[in-house]
Amino acid sequence: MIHWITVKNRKKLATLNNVGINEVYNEKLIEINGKQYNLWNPYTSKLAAAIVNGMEIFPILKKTNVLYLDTTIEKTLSHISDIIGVSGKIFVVKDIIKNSKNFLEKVRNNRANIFSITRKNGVPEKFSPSIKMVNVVYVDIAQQNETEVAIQNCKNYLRNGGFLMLVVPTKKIDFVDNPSRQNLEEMQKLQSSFEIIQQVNLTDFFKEHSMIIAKYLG
Amino acid sequence: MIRKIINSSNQIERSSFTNKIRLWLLDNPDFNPYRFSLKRAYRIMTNQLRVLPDFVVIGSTKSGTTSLHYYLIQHPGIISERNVHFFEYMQTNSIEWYRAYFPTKAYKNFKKLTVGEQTATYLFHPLIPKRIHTTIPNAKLIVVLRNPVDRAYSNYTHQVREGIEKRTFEEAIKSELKRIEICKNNSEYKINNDDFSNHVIFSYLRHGIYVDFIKAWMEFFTKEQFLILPTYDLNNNRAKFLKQVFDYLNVQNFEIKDVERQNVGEYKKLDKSMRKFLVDYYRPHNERLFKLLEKNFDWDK
Repeated sequence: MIHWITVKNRKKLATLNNVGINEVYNEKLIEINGKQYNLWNPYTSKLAAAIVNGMEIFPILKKTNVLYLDTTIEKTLSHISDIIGVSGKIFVVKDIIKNSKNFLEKVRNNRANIFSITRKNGVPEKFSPSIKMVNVVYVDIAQQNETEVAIQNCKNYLRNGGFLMLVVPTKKIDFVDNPSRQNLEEMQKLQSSFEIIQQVNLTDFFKEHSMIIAKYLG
Repeated sequence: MIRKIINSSNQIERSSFTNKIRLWLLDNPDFNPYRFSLKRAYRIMTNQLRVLPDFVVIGSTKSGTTSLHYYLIQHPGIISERNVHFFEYMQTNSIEWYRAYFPTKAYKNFKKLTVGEQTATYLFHPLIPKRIHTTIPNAKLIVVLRNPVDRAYSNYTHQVREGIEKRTFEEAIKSELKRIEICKNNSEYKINNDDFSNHVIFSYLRHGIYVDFIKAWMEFFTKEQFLILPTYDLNNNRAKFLKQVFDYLNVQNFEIKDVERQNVGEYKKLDKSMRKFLVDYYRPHNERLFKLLEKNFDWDK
């Protein structure tokens, strides 16, 4: 669960810290009524930016299993780890992360719900078989074919009715102002097997990016 | 190209000195030199001498409230502030900050002024009726209501112009219906954000169900405290509309000079099938509203 706390008279986004240390990326810890909160800065995490910018459906709850594909992972990951608690699982892919070795060593000691997996023969959507059906797939990999990678991963690992959270450059989906065919295709790729629930722009925090939240129909 | 954009915005270089200053200013906005204003500082210092508004224009968005504001401030006996958004951020802003917007008590009495405020998004926020009731219990509330079908479409085109909405109207409505369904069946997924943004953006359909909002307001205010008028009259019968407002505010009737409509967007007409869908969607809600207000606005077309 996410929390809104008031710090210095300003409302801020935070998650409840369930490990008591801030070793992952020097999170700002705030103690209120004996509970420790991790401040979640929307300027450094796209998921936080989407929440602050008016995301309405937030599918990551306690006990949720998440497949997490992101190249720069530290910030968002430790907050998701807070939210899902000890009974949830996050699967991160080792070889797409920058500086994965250092990071995973840090994490392994204090975050038991993060599991690292490897790609099978370098194929972007094939992982070791330890992942069972997950509830949420989070994709922010900044590749040309990221939509295809996301869709393929959902087909392999997402259960029916699960959610996809996909960060895309706004240019790819911007077809209101610029109705070219190419842009339409980008959205239609998703529409064949997903219901798009919301598209949140990350303006003010990340230029030219938006997050798509879609429900998987199977 | 795309990759380059992503890389540049994805990573904030922590070593950079300017970035450190930037992040610090974001954390401590009170020290931001760009936000400081001498006039504002003076007004906050003298806030104890200042009054709270007599009337509040609470809604609705895209319904002509901006035009109404510009018509009202032409009246010599009315002072009004626009888009203050105080009650939405009441947790983080103080009443002293709010008072600083309005004239001093002595000036008000000397000039015999009626003081008001207009923020068109107040209507939709679930916590504001209680907040206004505790702050200004005798406030006169003015509500301008537009045909919800037109309001929804106008709201959508506004968001497109702002660059917030990137999809077609039909898709946006479809997604919203989906979200309504998910919030209803799996309420645990709904984000617990009682902040401003969630009540304004992406609620084209829901903000048109006026009856639910007005009922929430009527739990705190008596029926006599409301003046509810249709936008149609503001555009087509301005003199009569303004006379009703002036009478309600107990000021002399006044003929305004500048009658230009404000904040008007230009966009393509809504297509017929979508309009029919929306008219059908809103019909039961509108009927409930007409029953509540004992008025009929003729919106089923």
